[in-house]
Amino acid sequence: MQKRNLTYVATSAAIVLIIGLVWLIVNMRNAHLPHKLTDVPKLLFTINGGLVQLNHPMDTAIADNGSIYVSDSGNNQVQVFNTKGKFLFSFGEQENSGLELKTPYGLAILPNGTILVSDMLNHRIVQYSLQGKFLKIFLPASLGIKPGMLLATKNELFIADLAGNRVVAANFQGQILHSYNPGFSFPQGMAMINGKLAVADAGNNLVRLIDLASGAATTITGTAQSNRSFNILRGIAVDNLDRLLVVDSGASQVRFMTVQGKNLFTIGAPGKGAAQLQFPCGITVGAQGRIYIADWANNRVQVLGYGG
Amino acid sequence: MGKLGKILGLAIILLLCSGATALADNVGPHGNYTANTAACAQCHRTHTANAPNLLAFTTSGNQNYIYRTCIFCHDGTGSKYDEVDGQILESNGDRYPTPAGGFQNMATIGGPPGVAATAPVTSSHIVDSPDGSGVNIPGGSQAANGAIELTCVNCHDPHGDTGNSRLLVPVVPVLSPDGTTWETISTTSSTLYTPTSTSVTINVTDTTTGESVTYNSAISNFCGACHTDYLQTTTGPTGVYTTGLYRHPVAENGYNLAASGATGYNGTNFALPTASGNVTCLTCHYAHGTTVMVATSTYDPPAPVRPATLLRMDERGVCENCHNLSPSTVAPVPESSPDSYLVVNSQQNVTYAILTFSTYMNSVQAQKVSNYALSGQSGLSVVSASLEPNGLMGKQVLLQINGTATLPLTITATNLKDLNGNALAAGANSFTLSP
Repeated sequence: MQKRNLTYVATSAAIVLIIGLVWLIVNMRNAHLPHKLTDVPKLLFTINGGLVQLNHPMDTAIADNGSIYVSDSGNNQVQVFNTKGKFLFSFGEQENSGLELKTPYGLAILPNGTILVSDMLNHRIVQYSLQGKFLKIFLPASLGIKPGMLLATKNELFIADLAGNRVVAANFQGQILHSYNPGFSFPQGMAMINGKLAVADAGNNLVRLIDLASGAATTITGTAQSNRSFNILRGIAVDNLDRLLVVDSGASQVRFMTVQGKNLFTIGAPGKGAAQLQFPCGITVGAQGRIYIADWANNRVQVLGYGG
Repeated sequence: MGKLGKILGLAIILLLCSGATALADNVGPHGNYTANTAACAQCHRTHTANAPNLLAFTTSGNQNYIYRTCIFCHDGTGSKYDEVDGQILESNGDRYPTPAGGFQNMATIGGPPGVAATAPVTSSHIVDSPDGSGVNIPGGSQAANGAIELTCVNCHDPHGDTGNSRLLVPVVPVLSPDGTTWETISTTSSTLYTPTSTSVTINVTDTTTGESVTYNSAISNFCGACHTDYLQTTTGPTGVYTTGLYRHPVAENGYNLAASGATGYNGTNFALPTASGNVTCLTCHYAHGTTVMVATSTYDPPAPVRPATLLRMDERGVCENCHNLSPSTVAPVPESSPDSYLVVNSQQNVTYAILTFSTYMNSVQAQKVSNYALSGQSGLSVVSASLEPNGLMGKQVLLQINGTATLPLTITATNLKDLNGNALAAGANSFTLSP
């Protein structure tokens, strides 16, 4: 009887220990993520550039290994940095090859481990390996798209067509599948939330949520709780708490909002100080909860996180 | 409500509508600011600006802060006037060439996505140079360090206080070569530039297929503010900085085509824009940039960095279009694929044909739908024809065809003439097109 009790106690203790270990591992893994809607990210570090200073960075993309890709629009190249912001290499500036990027804009990393670059003023999208090797013209200029921001999901690529006032969906072979236009005026950043496509509709100062099956759209005006309306939207992203991170470029702020349009809080203010932004553009949320903001007019990328 | 009341009500509505139309010219961040406007912060920062005039944008790399400010929207990411690509973006996704051309690219064919096309400019006004680098002014003084700083605001007032809907300034400011001092050429004390203080007046016609601008007065004075020696009347050499050289007359009030009579002038094939028949600088040149090709420059030395001269037609086409000296009798030639091609939109059951000719065509016949016949397929019909890029002159015709074309499609063009009056040769007037 005593032996049976001892075994019972030992087994219980082992179970508690295992549960504790699992809890610890899970929490360590999630330590970098926000847990509450009110959690505010802090600046971790700034990326100013590599061989040359960043020149009006438009957007960022994060590879699975944490490498940071920055579309360096004014230098007509993409600069690549490691997880700590140390410069690795750049690509896209092949001179006199006919393949030089001309104002690179949006970036998207595809599931097959390649990266797409919106070559805005050449009106095409170019595909590279993650090591920066040119692979092919993914979408040619002849399609008449002026590509801005990009969003790659598991199955589809979404392209903000700035000149066409629409969002174009394509497969990963570069075939156009659908287009969405619920009255966009200069669609910019895009993100998926609850199965819907959130689009920063810059010209209308709205966030639109598109039901991809029907094409129907609902809108977020930003004016809930007596907040002022948006003032030139650019990027948009979604974090692990399903918060929308909306780049209000004219206000030099990022608004954290619920998908119902409730304003949670804002970060940033106009200026070039550490906690300030100047006409920010693209925004990306990485797997570790880090937030990458292309601080366009300050010629830098601000990397924020939640510590832990 | 009595009849009088109804009439008064209608009059008030019309009055309000006309006011709205006038206001519509300057809406957005460029004027008509309300008492609670938010527009200032789209460009300025009160306490945290990065550049003079409290501008938020910085000079970096190869572009100055003013250009950076303007192209924050005018690169096609926030304004229908995409001046970098030289196109006007309509809300339905169609786009058309801007009347001024572009700074990096220029729309060469207007229409919906897939049909509209752009090409890189071969010359442009250099408004993006970083502070201090400066540019030379053909026909202007090179006395002060040989160059001036040129940016968008030398010609346009972003605050809209100009009296015209292209925001052209009544007084041309010029930034000094070191980028630190503004010189105003309206002051007669300036030793560098000829003063001008006359506002440019223009009419803008906004149609569903783009906009056209008619300059009524003062545009040559405007250009001549910097290109001083080129502001030539009919009276002979009057160069301020370079004396003794004869210049082509341009002053719009002193050089009327019909009245003065250019050598060989023939109004029936004249395709260049004028100000009520008067020659202006913009009769031959675009204001922003052009895609045309010019082999040699006739600029004053030193040669500008971008040598093709903003001309509206290849080589010296603008001279010949007006003067008609010994015109060629060679018939225009239809260019085959890939210069001419089809764009098929099966979803909308429409096909576009882009027909390319070897030389500039006369717009009157080229834009007549009945001059095009389709063969090889039934059920198709041409519904519109436009001469690209701007309907006045061009080497390409854009046809909109109802129906989805498949190969082969042959289009026969008849009665078309080039600007010299030469007709397409019989038997060599058809295009066989591929997508």
